[in-house]
Amino acid sequence: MERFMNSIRYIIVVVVLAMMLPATAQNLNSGYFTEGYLYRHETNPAFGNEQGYVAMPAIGNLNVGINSNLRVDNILYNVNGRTALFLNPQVSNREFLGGIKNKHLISEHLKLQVLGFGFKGMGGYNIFEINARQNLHARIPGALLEFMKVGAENKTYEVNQLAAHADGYAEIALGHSRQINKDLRVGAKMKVLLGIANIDMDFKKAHLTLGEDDWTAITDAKVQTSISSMRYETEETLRGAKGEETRHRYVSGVKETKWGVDGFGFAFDLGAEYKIDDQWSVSAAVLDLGFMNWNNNYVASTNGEKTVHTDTHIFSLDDDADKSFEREGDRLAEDLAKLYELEDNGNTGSRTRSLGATMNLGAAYTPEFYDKMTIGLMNSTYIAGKYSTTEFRLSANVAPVKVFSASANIAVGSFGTSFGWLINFHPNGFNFFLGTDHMLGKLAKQGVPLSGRAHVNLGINFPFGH
Amino acid sequence: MKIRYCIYAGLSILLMLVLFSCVDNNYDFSDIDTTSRFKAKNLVVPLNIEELTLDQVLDLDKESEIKQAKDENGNLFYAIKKEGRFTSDDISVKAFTASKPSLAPCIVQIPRIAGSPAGTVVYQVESPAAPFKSEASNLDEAFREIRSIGVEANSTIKLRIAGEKLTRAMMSNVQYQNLKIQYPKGLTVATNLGTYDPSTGVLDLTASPLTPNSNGEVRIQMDVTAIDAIQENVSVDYVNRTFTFEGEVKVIQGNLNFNTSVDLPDAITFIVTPEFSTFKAKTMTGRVEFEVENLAIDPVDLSHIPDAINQSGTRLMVENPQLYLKLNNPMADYDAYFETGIRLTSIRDAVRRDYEIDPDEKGNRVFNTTLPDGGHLLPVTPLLLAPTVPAQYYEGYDSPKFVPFSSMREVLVLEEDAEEEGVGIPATIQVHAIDPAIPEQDVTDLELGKTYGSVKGDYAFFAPLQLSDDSRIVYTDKVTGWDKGDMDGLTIDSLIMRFDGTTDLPFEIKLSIQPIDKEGNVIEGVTSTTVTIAAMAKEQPIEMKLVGPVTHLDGLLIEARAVNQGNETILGPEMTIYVKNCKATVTGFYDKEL
Repeated sequence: MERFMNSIRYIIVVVVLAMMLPATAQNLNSGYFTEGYLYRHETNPAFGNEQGYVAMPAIGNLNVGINSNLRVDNILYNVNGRTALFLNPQVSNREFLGGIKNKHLISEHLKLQVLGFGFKGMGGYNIFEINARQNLHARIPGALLEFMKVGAENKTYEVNQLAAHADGYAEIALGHSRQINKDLRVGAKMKVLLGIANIDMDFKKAHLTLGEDDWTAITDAKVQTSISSMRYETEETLRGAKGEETRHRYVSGVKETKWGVDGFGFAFDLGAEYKIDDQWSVSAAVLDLGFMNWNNNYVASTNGEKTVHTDTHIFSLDDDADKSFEREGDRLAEDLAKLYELEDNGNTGSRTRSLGATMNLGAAYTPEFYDKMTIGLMNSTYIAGKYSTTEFRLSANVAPVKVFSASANIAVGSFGTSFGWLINFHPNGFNFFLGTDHMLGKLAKQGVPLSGRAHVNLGINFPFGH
Repeated sequence: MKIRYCIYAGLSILLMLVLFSCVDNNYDFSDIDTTSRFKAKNLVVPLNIEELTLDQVLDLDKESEIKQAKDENGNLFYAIKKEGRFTSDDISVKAFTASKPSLAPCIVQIPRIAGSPAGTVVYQVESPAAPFKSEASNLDEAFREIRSIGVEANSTIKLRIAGEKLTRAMMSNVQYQNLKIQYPKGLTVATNLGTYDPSTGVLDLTASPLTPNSNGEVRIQMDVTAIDAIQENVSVDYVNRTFTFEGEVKVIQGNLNFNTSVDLPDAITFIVTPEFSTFKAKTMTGRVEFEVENLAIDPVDLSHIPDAINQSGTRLMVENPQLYLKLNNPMADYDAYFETGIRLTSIRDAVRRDYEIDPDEKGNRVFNTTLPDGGHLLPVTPLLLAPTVPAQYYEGYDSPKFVPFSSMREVLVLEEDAEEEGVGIPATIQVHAIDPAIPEQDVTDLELGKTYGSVKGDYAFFAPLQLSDDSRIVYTDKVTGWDKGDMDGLTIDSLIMRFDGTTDLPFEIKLSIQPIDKEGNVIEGVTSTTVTIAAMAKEQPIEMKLVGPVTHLDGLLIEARAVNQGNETILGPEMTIYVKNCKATVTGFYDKEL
């Protein structure tokens, strides 16, 4: 019972903490069509700037945010004036399940520009950046949350969408965009990647069938970690019926972590913009198309599917029998342990992993009657297997004066509906922008967004040239 | 200019934050109530239950008095089996020795017989009676009648003549003729001269003349090997345990012939000197009776009867309990049988009840080791005390002598109305031998001064467990210890156990369960159903319900009540109860602060 309760605690803590993480979204989609926003090239490398710029170190382009389709106030409720978990008996199933979807994604990104500048030259616009990037994705199946809240029923629970991924790396990017003709502009960025850490946790299969004649559980889980000099911590235990105990060693944690470069990779951003006429233009980009080769890959795994059928366990009411409840219960416990205990497979060598790529498509319209405004529709799709998301964002962008531009937009996508905005002051020699793709909405006392979504992108840069 | 733009920017940020976010005071992460409820609603938990034999239910340990036994067809059944030993004090018979009689020499003048042939002088030999008395005391108490005694004794009688003219030369020419000496009757003797007649006591020396030695002496010696105690001169006082042997010795006839021409005197001196040694008794023939003392029989300890059949309300008839005895008879060599009464005392708590064997035709509640055919006794004679003769005897007690003991079946069970006096199988059955003895009976040549050993042997108490009509087994058990501090949050609204019951038990079982708390009290407000598994049920659908709310659960009080009706059933270890398709349907929840 205590181990079960610990598992529940861990799940809840992970979910809540993941949703409370301050993080950065890598790119600001709200600025895709906004004139004067220096980092449009982050969303489409074909976009150039009118001026060169030098970013203020560390805060030239700071992106902080989290995105989730699981609201914090779906996990935490106010019960009698006190914040309570969704498992609180006074939170009704109906109330909780109303906010639960089949799958929940929690996505967190970090992009911190350490150094960056852009300048015109070589027939186009050139970019140099050194970024620190980190991202985390977690996928929580709604069935798991439903199981916890509604309780066990005689049906099948598929929780095999439970997965998490995180990596961190440094990025050195060189970009160039140029006008091919008066209508078409293309651009590309080449990125050299230095990997710091990567963790992939994947429940390939987590299948629980609580039948009336048999309970079956199948799991297939694997954790791959690429961190320099990392070792898994293991524990050994004796399990099984008395007299037939077997020794089990399983992964219980991580030790001897030493941070350093552990991977090397390349990635490319490719983009194009085509002006159909004075009012319409379309654009497309593919970002982070590349891979990372990690030097080490420490694997902890169930080593394939593990299956437990309860009907293979026959209990005897005789306390002295070989199949007594105590002895057979021990055997069942041993069986169940293999469902969740991971074996340390050691370092299996280098591993190449593709990056999660982003595809952006845009269409912009500048009305003839007011050419200081642009209406844009953008689709941004993050392509990363089970963590893939997409959104459509409709934005109104204005640059009423030379020194100021702004955007207001609404998005619908995998994480639901969100509102974004951007304001950008860009007088001569100074550029400050602040924007978000997801407005904070209500906050808890500690400032945690109850929507489970938050994003802010700000930066101070120093433009130069004409 | 730049300062102005910075002010614009700051104001814009502030505006955005004010417009698009606000703090909801209902959410305070510093104080989260982590109370969580985990629910189960009509959750069916399948359970595969192994076939359960009666042997597993009874869970007999090595010390249990309930053992498996095998009938003549090889079928196993349960029986109370208890073996033990018993032994008495040694039986012994004391020897005794009658004292040496005190006899003085008898000196008489024997006269010359006139008219003897020429060249001969004849004297008539006679002597007065010399009385004697030999006594013994402290005879063995076992003696009831002594008919004869084997003894170790001897007797010597010297006859000597003396006179003035009796020279040595004359002594070589003298003979005793027709000599007879009177001894006590009833002796068994071996003599160096003459013949002894036990019926008359006369030692007849007439067959051949006796010639004295040069000193004028004749010595006659007898070895006495037995005394006929029926004779009048032998008396035994069985009260005072004394023995007296009286008699007299005298020369009753005879002539003393001198072949001489010398003129001898008219009378010469005749000296008779009889002697007896002590009479050391070696054997006796007659009647004896021994009390067998301190015959201690190990009690039948039934303190390890499994709870399943030894609880309040259980009425388990034991149809034909049997007590087997195998004992030695130390007096068997003398064809003396052993006799005793037997009383069984059942002890339940402080309640004692006595049961005795059936009276015989004379009304005596005793039995003995005499064989029915009246033949010689065997050293070991198995005995069977039981209400009836069983079809099969206990191993090692073949062909026992049957002793009816009708009330023995009641030793193990009491009537229902005696509940206040204790119920169930007694913790102990004491086995008492009543007046054990080698009763008064004839013995022949019983060796005296010997320890014959004790009455000892083995016993086996054997009682097949049988349910007769209206017998019942009430078994209650508390399965506890579930609450290890984390059960407070558990609430069971309902628990429904469904299964198909199959059994070859020939009696129905009523089964009920009730939840109990840590203090062992039945949790109130919970309704539970009692289900009945029919006798010989074949996949009978059973449904047990426990409708709560059940809280503070620490275990279950289980009661199984088996009632046998209309038939007699021997309980066997291979009888089974098989639960198939067992499913527990649970509705409830568990609250816990994470």
